Amino acid sequence: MSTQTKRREQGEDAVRLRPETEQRVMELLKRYPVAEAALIPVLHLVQDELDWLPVAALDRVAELLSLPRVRVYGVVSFYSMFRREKAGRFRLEICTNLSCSLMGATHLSEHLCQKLGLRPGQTTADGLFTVEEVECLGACGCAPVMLVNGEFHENLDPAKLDELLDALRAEAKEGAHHG
Amino acid sequence: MAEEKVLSARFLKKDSHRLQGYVKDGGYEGWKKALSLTPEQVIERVKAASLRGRGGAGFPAGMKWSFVPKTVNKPKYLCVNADEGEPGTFKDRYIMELDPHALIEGAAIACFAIGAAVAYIYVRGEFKKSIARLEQAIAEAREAGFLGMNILGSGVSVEMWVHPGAGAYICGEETALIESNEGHRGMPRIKPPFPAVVGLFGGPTVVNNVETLSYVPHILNRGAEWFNAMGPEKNGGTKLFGVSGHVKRPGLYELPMGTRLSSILYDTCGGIRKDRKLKAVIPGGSSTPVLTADEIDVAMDFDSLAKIGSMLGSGGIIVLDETTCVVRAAARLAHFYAHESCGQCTPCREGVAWVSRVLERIEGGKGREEDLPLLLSICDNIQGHTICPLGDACAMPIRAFVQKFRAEFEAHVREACCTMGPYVTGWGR
Amino acid sequence: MVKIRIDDMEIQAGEDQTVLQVALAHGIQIPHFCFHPRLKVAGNCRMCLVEIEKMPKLQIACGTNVREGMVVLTQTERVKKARQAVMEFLLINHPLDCPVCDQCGECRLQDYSFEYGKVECRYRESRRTFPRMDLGETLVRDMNRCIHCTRCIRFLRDVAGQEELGLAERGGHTEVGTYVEMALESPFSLNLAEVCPVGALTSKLFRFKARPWMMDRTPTLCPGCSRGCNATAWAYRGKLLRFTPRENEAVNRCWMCDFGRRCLDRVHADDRLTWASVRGQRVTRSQAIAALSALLEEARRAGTAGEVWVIASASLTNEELEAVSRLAREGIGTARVGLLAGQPDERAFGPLDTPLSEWFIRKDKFPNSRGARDTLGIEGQETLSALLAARPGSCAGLLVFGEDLGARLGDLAAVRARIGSVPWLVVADSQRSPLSALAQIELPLSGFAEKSGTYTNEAGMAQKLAAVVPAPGEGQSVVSLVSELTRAPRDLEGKGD
Repeated sequence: MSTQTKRREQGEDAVRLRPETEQRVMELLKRYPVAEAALIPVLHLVQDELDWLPVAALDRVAELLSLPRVRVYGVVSFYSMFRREKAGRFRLEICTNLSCSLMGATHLSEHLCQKLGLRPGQTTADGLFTVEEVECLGACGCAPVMLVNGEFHENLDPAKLDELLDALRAEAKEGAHHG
Repeated sequence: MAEEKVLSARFLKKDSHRLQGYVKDGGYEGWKKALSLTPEQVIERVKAASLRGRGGAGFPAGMKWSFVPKTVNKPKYLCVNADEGEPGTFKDRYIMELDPHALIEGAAIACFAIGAAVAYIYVRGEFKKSIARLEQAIAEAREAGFLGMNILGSGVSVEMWVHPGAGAYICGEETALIESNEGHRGMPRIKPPFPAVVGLFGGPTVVNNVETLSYVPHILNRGAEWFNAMGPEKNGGTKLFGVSGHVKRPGLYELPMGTRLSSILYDTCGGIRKDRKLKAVIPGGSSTPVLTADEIDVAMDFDSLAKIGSMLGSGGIIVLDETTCVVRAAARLAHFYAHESCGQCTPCREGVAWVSRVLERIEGGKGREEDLPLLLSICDNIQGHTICPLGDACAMPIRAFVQKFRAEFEAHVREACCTMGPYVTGWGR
Repeated sequence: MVKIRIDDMEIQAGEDQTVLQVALAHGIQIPHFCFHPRLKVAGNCRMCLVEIEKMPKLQIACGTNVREGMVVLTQTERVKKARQAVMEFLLINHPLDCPVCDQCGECRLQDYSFEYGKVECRYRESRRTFPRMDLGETLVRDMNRCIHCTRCIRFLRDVAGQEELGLAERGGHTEVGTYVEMALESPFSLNLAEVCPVGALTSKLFRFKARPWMMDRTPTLCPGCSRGCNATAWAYRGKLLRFTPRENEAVNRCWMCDFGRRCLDRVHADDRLTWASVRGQRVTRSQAIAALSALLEEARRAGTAGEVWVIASASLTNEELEAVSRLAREGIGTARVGLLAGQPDERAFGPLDTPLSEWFIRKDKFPNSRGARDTLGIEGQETLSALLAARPGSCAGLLVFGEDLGARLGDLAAVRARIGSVPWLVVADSQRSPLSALAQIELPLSGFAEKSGTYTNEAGMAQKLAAVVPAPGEGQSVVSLVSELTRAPRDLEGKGD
């Protein structure tokens, strides 16, 4: 039997957060009578800065809030919005729940995946797009709905989707010029 | 009866989310009025208005407030349920983005009524704009003296914070919401004790839906009788109905409680798209048992729908036309519940996943004759045996689908494929 | 007190009790997995659902407080169906591992399947699986078998005070584990093998060794420290295979620490002293005893009996220490008796409502320090080097009775130096050690699992130690040794060469 248990030492691949982020963490803590209650908003803050949540980031959060690491990990792995893997530059999260599916979301998702040459859950080879099929986003009256890096795009159809992809690719190119 | 807009009256106004416009339209007068009364008087007024919870359960709000014990040494809290995760539901987002002060005012009055000095607005994490607008509105309200310490010289202090969720439908359940607000995994608590006695951080807590609270200032301003009279007995007020799916005009509509479903579908929403025939309609969000086309002549209020074996729920109406494969619809919903189950208790963790796998298999053409009685049996074994209503929220709708569309399920099993045609057109085309 | 009825039984129950607590206290069986009398209520398995009059839905007995006039029904059709439902749900993903699972024979899932489940399995889909996880030195996690009762998490977090296990993921994918494949550090980890009602957490020390029904169970004590945990020794064909806690509210509740459980490693270790020797040569026990007898007789004749040192260890039972005391006083005629023993812990002893990590494992690693001090009437030193240093002066011979003296030597060089100036050294021990290697005469002793007697723990409770397996080779208890010694010939013939 494999004995892959290892001890995780503090400091291994330690993560450094921006001072502004740590400052905002301190402000968030003031909203609650116990530090632990700030865990979810703090994780959002850290994820917004790092774009995902590596294990080292979770260690740092546990340290900041004086929590056992296993508890932080339990919270991170419970909620769908927390990303434990790096995603592409543009995260395309398309709802395929009932109302959106009734309005063609599954076909839209197929169209999207075919265009990008991947399956839901994967990232394009150039690291630009990650596609996920997600649950109800609370915008059913404007179905089908998709999030692009958390921003709502509603009333979609294949044509609008194609337009959107082109716009995002253009944005990425521009960023490369200015970067 | 003229259809008066209560909650949605300000939605289309320019800068409707800013304090200036809100105050000009009479905003925070309800708050001032509440502060001139006693908490008990406020509770009585809300009770008299028959304001029932708009989050799904329909529990009378005034009664819930009155459960908070008066003499308890621990800090009390109000948690605003803005988790809006029920498929087919999209109403609270409008209030938070377009009229956040309405919610803040309602929440402040609720805090006063129950003796809470702090309120957390638990907003689902995906609603970034709602979160931003609420934060801005709270700051405005604080600056104007409507929130904070010693509000308007009354001696009452109310502080309000926005608390984001992070993608878990179960956090719409009140005890799971409280757990999540405390920084834990969103796993519902066993009841008793009830949140009104032991809730957030161990103190008495009331959890109310956004829409429910948004009515409160109006009730204070215009009176309980006015509110009561708008709907059938014990089902007062208006309701924000969100209609999605195969209607010509999907969208959010504010209508009196008790409006007939047929009227909503055919008058308000212009009928079925492409003039097709209606097949089925889910009346109040995915957790409510489906209605057939024969059952739509029903008043959309809590009691009328309960009488015919369904529920008003959140009022999220999902319309399925004749081209829809109900087997696929049922499978998709079961998949959702399996994905969102917190995993704590045996019947939900194992049973809901089982239902989902069986439906997936049937939908994929590998169904067996015994699968249908099996599904009904599993639903029976889940219902009433779980810690929280999510188990029921899966079991009851699936049972309704299988029972009311038995022939289609049987055909799907027998033919080993969707019997709606070789190309399932119901899904959007 | 309130009056309630459970089925046909009228019961007076305490007001703050739950239906389950009351039922169990009165011998009424309500099946349950996640409930544990010493852990916080979780209410997640749903196995204890019962019918309560005037309540429309079934209620969990573990989470329902009794009220005056409550009528609880545990045998109705609804309840039976609910139990069948829960059993069926638990078994749809549970692997049919019984033939290879250590829990077999002590498994609640097995027992309840038999009593409350249905025969047929209707599940035809694929089962969710998880990788097996090594949790460190003591436990293996077989997550496929887990029924998510969370007892393990609650034990480590609330009782042991070390939050090392937690839930991860959600729904049917929920896993119980450590943080990113870390090993468990808690010295109480092996309690999890008992706390887990199925074979999801099993002891590495016991893995695949025997089935529970094959083993003989003997109530005895743990010799690991001065707490004197009540334990059960499990033996099969003369081999001690497992050590589990036995309930004693005043001493150890129902827990043991991992170090205590590992004491059984000493029993069948390679370094057992199983035969006697004289000047390095193997001899029979009676020959060795005769040789010792001759040494003592010589000292008597030379008038130096009073300068013979007798050293006892607080690993011995009260009866053995009594025998040593008599030997020294009457048999040899010396007042020079020394004691290897530990110091009482300054932390409070009793089971308090604080985490185990703060008070459970005592600093004194001898099982009978208090008993030894009471019996011999002297204070002790923790190591042999300290003891020898504390008693300078002439020494006509050194007779040491120990158990696992190798662990108590202290500064070995100092011990060697002191021994060098002593005319003879006789060591009676259960294990070989650097000390016994220096001895003129080695005598094999029974270990803690091979003799009966009493230990007095730090709180002053005299508790019974039981013989579980026979001593290897010619090992015997000190009582028996002293008895043989007093009957041995006193002349020079038995000295051997």
